[in-house]
Amino acid sequence: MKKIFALVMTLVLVCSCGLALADTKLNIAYMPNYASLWSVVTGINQGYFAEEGLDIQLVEFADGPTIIAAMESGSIDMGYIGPGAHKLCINGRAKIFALSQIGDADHVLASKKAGISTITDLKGKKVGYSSGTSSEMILKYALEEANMTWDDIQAFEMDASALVTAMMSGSIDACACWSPSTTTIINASDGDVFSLCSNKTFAHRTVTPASWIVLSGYHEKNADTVLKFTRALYKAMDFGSKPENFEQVAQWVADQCATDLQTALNQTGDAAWPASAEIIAGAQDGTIEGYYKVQQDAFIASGAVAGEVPVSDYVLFDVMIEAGK
Amino acid sequence: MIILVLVLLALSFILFLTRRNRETGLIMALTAVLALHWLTVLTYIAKKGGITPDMQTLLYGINSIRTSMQYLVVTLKQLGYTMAVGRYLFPLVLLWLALYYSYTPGIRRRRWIGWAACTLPLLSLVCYYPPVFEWLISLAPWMLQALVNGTLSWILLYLAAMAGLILWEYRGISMPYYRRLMRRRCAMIVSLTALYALYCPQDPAQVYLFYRNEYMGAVQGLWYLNPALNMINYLMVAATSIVCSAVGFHALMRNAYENLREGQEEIAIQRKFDTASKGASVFVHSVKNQLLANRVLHKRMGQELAKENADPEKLREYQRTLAQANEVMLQRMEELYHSVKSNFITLVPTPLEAVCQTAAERFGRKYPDALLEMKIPADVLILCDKIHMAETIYNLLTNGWEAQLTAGRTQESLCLECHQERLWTVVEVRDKGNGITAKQRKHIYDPFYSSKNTNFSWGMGLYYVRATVRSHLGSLRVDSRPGQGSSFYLQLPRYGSTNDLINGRRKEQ
Repeated sequence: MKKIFALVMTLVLVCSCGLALADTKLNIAYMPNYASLWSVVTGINQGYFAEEGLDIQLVEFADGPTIIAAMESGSIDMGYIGPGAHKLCINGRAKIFALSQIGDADHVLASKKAGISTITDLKGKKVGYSSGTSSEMILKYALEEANMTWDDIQAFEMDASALVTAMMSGSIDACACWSPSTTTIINASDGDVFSLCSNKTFAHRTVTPASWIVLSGYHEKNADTVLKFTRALYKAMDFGSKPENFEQVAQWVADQCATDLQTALNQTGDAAWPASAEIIAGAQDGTIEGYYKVQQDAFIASGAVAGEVPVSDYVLFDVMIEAGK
Repeated sequence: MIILVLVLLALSFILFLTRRNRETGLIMALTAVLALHWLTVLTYIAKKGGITPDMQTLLYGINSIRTSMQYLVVTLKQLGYTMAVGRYLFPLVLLWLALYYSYTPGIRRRRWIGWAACTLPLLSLVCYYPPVFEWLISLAPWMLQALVNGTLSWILLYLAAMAGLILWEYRGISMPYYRRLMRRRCAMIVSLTALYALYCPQDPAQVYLFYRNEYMGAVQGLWYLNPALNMINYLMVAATSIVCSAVGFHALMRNAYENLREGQEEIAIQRKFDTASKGASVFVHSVKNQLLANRVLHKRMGQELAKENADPEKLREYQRTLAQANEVMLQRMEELYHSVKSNFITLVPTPLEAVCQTAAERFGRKYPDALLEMKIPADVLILCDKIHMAETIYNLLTNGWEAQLTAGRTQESLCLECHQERLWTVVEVRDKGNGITAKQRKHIYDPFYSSKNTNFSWGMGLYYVRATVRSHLGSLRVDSRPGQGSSFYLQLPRYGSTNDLINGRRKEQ
């Protein structure tokens, strides 16, 4: 009897240890571009997530709002969003726990053959955009810059992938999209398609941060996991932000997106890739809060967000600071 | 999954081409709207992403299919509304199919039910037209939630109504043969509905209003990313669908093939002139042989009479043989005459029991030792020409018993039974012979076709039976189990009972 008891206890202990040592599996949402992947693929390939006891499963999405909807469906734990989807965070749908980078990946592209050379020439033209994303945002800024409204153009609401095909096939005259779709369209157009404007054009009006987000319910239950993930992400950022590592990171991004290395390398200029120290310092001295405040003001001005919300309501600065300790 | 849906569509199309009627038309429409719904959902998933590589393989097969769908040039409004068309027409067509299968008089006679069922789907299609939808949700804050929940509610209501109708219908069927047919149809319907149910909660307006904050508040998350739709559940639904659809389509194809063959036989009669001619030769040859035999008898009688002391006993013997041969010839002539001269019939309400009794008496005269078990209710009336119908049943009884004789099962009873099945009165003749092979099945209704010795059978029996049943607005079905026996079903329009007739006459008086 004692032997059986000892055997059972040994089994229980082994199982408990096994469970305790098992990695926490996380479904992480990303978009197939360098900006979305630069830190997370580095973290996976360099073993930073494994060091924190996290097993990362990457799941590809087309845009940020879809990632938030997937989190609400329960299939995704954490994810990356571009600038456009931040309005959903301001409106309380998700919380930001880490800044990824301030980007310049969004462009309004136009075809010369369609007779477009300036933003004003968009009047009456077929323009494709992906609503709810930074594509919609940059097109809106471009129209406002030329004193035009949505009524002045023929707006076609499409998904990000259809924009590429529609632009390449000539079904639309212009479109607002982001890298690497911008590069794909420009390269395939044989000199016809060019960039009318990008995020930099509107730097005086807004900043375009991209962030890592989580649902508040998930964060409340798994604060430790979110912290571990951020810690690993910081290590990855420290590696990926060094120019000498760009090619290595681009290779990992290319592998994940099933594209060639050059396509990924072309995107390394889409943003200034921050190291963890910049983020931690920015979170402590209010610089990052300032970025999100400017962004929120731009959303309020454009009508995408109804009223002012304290930035700390939807940005978890404590996670950003705590992960750096 | 995409291949499964397309295969189902192709099968339903082939089924429709094989037999163009309301049932196959509805099944084709059902799979077409299902395919439309699935293709739009899969396009949406391809564009939005969020599925694992395993799931991707399960849904699209190869990656190039997913990529093609992902880069398909279509606006979100077009995609969403096409999804709405598939989503709202499927329950409607499904309900029409269930109504078609329903023989419940209260439902079948009220054709307006089918038309009334169009109201909610058409209304939903109007409401979900993107500009209309946007206008409607701008009217009141509750409108969005009402539309999203309202449409899903009526969809579930229609599916429940369909399930109720089909189950009720199935419960009403008592004959195993018809139950089996219905079961297979049900399997196919259930599998198509299960495929539809996987994505029917996905609201189509989510495709074109996904980024509206108020919409995201009303519909949390994306249905297609629901954890319930995991690999195991998908595989189970896919496997069930494949099996059930295969069973259902096989049954329908077989049924369609039988009907097609029946139709083709009408045309084939003309082409079978050679066969008929051959049969006529057999008949003429047989009669000629008989006449030659009679001539021999006459000659012998003449020789006997030429003798001075003619033997009266021999003469009586010759005369008896001659008379018997004459009777046999007359009987055969009569049978052949009935077979070919059955154009004119008079349909009158007749008790089925009386018809079966007449057939059984005639059968008893031919096979006095045969064992016949009859289960005919006394009050069932059919609209028929009594002589022809009795002759028809007699033919089936004769065939059945001869099949048992061939199989050596003379100690077992032949069964003549009546079933009241939905709108039909079905007369079943069940034998325990050797059954009918698939090859024989193709020819059993041919004129002058017989698997028996042609000296005793001229192969006009089943040809005559089928012609008579059709002239009674009915149909003939056969269900055979090799080595165990066969069942022939005379399916006649249900007329009523003798009690109805008596009550009717009383009212007239």
